[in-house]
Amino acid sequence: MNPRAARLVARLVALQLAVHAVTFLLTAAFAPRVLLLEPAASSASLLVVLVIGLLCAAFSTAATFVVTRRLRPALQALAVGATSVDSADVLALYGVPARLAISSAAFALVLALATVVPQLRPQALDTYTDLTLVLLMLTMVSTAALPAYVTMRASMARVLELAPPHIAHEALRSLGRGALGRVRKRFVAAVAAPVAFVALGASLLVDAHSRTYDRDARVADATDVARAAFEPIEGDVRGRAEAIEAAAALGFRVHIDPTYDGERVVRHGDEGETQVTVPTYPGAALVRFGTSRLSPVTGIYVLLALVAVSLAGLLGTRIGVAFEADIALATREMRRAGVAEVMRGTIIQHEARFANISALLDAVDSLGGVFREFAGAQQRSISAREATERMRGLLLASMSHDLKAPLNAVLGFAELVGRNPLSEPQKESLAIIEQRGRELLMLIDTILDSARVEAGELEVSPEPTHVGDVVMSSVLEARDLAVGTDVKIQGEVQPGMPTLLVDGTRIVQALTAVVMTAARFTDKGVVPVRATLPDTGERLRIEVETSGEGLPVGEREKIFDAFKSAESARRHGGLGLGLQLARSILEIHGGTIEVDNTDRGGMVFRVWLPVRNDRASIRARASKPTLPPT
Amino acid sequence: MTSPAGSGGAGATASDARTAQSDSTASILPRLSASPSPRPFAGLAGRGWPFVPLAPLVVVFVGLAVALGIGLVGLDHLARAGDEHASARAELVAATVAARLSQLPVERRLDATQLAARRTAAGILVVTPDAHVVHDVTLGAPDHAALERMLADGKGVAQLRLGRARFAVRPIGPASDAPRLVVLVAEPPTSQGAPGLVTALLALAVLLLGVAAAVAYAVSRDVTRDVDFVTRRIDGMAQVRTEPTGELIPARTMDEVGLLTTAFNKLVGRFGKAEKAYRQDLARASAADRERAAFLAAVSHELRSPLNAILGFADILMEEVDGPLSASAQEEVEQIRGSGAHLLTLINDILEFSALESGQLKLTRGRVDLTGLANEVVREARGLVGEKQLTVRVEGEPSLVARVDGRRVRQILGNLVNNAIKFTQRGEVIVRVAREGPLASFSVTDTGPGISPQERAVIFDEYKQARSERMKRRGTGLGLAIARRLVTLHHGKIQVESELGRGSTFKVLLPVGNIDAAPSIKAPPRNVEVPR
Repeated sequence: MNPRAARLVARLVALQLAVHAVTFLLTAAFAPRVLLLEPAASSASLLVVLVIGLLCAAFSTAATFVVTRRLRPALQALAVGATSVDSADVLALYGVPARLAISSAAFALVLALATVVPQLRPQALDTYTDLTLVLLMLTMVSTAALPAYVTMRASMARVLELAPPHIAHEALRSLGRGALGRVRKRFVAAVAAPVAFVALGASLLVDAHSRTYDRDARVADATDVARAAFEPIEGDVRGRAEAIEAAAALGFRVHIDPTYDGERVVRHGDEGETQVTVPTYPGAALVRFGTSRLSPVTGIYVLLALVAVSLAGLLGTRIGVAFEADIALATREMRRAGVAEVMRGTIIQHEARFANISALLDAVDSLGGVFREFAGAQQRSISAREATERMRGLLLASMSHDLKAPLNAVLGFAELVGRNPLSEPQKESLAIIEQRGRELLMLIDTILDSARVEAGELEVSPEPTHVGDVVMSSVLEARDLAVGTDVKIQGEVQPGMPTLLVDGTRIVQALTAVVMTAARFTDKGVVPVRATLPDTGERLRIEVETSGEGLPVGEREKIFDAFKSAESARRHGGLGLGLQLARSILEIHGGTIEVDNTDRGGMVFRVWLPVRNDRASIRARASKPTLPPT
Repeated sequence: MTSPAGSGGAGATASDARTAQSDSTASILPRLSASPSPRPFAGLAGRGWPFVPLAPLVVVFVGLAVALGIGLVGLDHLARAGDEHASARAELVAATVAARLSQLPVERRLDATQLAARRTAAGILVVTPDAHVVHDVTLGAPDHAALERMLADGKGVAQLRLGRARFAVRPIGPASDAPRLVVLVAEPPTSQGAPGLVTALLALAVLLLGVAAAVAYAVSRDVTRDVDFVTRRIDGMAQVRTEPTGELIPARTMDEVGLLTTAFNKLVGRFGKAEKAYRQDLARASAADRERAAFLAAVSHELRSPLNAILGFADILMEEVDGPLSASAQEEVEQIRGSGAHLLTLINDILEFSALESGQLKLTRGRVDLTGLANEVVREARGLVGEKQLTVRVEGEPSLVARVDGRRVRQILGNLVNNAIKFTQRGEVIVRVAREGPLASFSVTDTGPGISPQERAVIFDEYKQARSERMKRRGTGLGLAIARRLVTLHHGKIQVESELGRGSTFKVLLPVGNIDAAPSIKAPPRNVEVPR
């Protein structure tokens, strides 16, 4: 159970509540100072701010639950580490912080605008003050929405980390181009919103100051004029009435309260009206005037603020675009980088503008370096292995020449010894020496030829050859080698055989190896070698049968692969090598060899050779190396 | 791979280290030379612009500018508001006081005017329509010409002796020849609210800018945090792992950084695939190599069994069990035995060499007296001298103990001494045993025909030798190649010096090692490529 995912909703609520608390407390603390509010208006504004703050907090909590309600199962799945998360849910989860931040700010806006309605507003706040208060609050709320969004987003990112990468990739794919431009937007918001915040705050402050100045000056005017012109003078009522009329023409409405008895009182009434009660002797003059004239410079403030915000937005866009270009560059470099590029050198070929992306690219490069080292080591190992393997083949082949010299000496001297008068047992011994010597020679030849086949250097000279000659030659050779065993080798050739285009010597060599193998698997009895032209007559078939039990079925294919199986090499040694060479020779001639079971429980080698053949393709097959060249 | 023979085999450790080194320099060089400045700031720590401070900087600068602008506009407004207010005040005072005076008898007007002037702190004049002063309640009345202008204008700005003032003129009473009331209100010297405004604005600007910069910082930090997260994960991958694979980086943001992460993950996927392919290739190559080694062993065995039969039956013939042999037949059978024995040596060499190449051969080290060993070898080899006028002797340290595999060192030394005797027709073959610091050295010097430089270059590399050369040396087989690999297995060195016609010296250097240690069957470094 991952605690981050499990407690995400609670965390989001807590974050928003904290941000709201800070925002509205700050607004409450600063509003009277920035807006130069009178004590009564100040406490009224405090009330307004606190009420709106509480409502906003309640709304945020509710909104968080509503927004995440549908995503609860997905969160649960992420928390327990399940991989069955829908990519749409991942997208929705990612969008939650933005939705919450925007809806909170929008709700605050609606609430704040509602206070413009006179019935919902405390008496102590006039419309203008209320408007400025609303403006201040909105600025604070929308500015605070950014950090709130950022912290919520960070929490969400840590939860989305748990999503399996392929689901995140799928989600990104489904976004398509919609994923682009998001970083820039966030950055523009990061630059423009604070500037707007500063501009609005400064405007409100300056406006409040000039309004206060204006009002205070008018209060002084009213007081002075009341004292100068509205003092009752004996016998003069008309003069005062005319003065009151003249003042009214200039926006000062004056009432005379003859019974008033007290200090001068300045009261800021509703709708921006101020009433100054100036004691006259006797009574008092009540001067009323309005102060809530919209200053002509407000327009300039708005203009300045707009210019600043758009300048900030422009700068932010430029920087954001540059950063996005960097990210896009890094993405491109990574998409482009293949294993080949990595092996060739650095992955990253372009310079990033920003340090963060540079660091990222460096990290990718160093990872590429790790891969390069690994791959280089692997490559070296593979090369070394292949080299050793080739070397071994080469070793045998090159040594075969060295081996042949003393062997020929053995055979030559054996022949010389045979010319001396010898007893029967001595002749027998000599025969064994000669036979084993020939066997050895054949084995060495086979090794040499196998190496040639591998290197594609086996020389073949295809000539028209009679099938009977080939079969009989190999039967005779096999008989020679099988001297001293109880195996009889018999050749049968179907009459009317066509002439084959083959290298007779090679085919005899191959067939002899097959016959020898069959003889080796037969303890005693007849090994028949039958050449037939079955079916359509396109392919010649030569069957060599054993009468012994032969090999288990599973091992039969392996008998051709002297190199593939150490086991088979150990058991059949040179025979396996001979068979493998036989197969190679047959394949060079376009033929095949297979091993099958007979009804009598023995094995049968079946050789197929095409009747029609051409020299070029035989030569081409012969010159194709089966192992990569050194 | 430079050549299969040059770096393959048991002696691959040193030469492979060299190739590895040259490989790594080769991979570094293109970075430095081929692309001299794809990154102009290369070398500087933390190349590129820092991103995070940009947003706060922009906010502070633009914010400061706009706050300053608004403040200046406000101050200007305040200043003008002071003047306008003076004007309005003059008008108000003039209107009300004129209305008041108009209903007063003429003789009481002066008192009333004085009262009004005192209470409003304004200068008040009562003048005739032709600008003659009737009452003067000012600190310094303007002259006649100025008054006339003022009466004509009705209201405006007047330059008095005490400074600029705003004035308003109202007739006292409706009659056209009624006296005029002129009210003068001095313009405020400086805007009264300005200092307060400046202080408040400064305080607010600092506060707001702080908050704004903090917000901007937080948001742009958020942008880079996503990127840094990816960077850290990649760094972790590169540092912790020696292999370039691993779990993918979670794409945790659905924006460009997410796309970047995806691209990186795909790259890692490609790495992983390549790595797998490499491993498979290596496994395949290793398997093929093992099979080939096993096959070689099997074939060598296969070669040996008929050979043993030949040797056995030749022995039977030689021992004349089945009857006597003629002298010529004896000689011929002896030839068969000699050739067979040579063949057996060759096949054994192939087997041994193959075992050495695949690293299957292990050393059994122990305390060995090299001088004693050399004496034994020379004693045995004297049999080969035969009819030749050749002295074979040992020189140098009376006793030199080293921790080596005695059997193998005997093989090395035997091979060198046998070769020397074989190729030298007359003169001497000297084995010198000496100690050179931590190394034990023995050299075999002969007075033979010498070895040409071309031949020297390949003398230890079996596969580099042309076949004809090997034929010329009458099938010394793999002796020197085996000797070289055995020496390398001991972490030693083998060198050859030669002058054509004068003779050659083969010198073997072996580490003496810790001769007090117990004999061990420690496996030598296998000839396997350890991924670096």
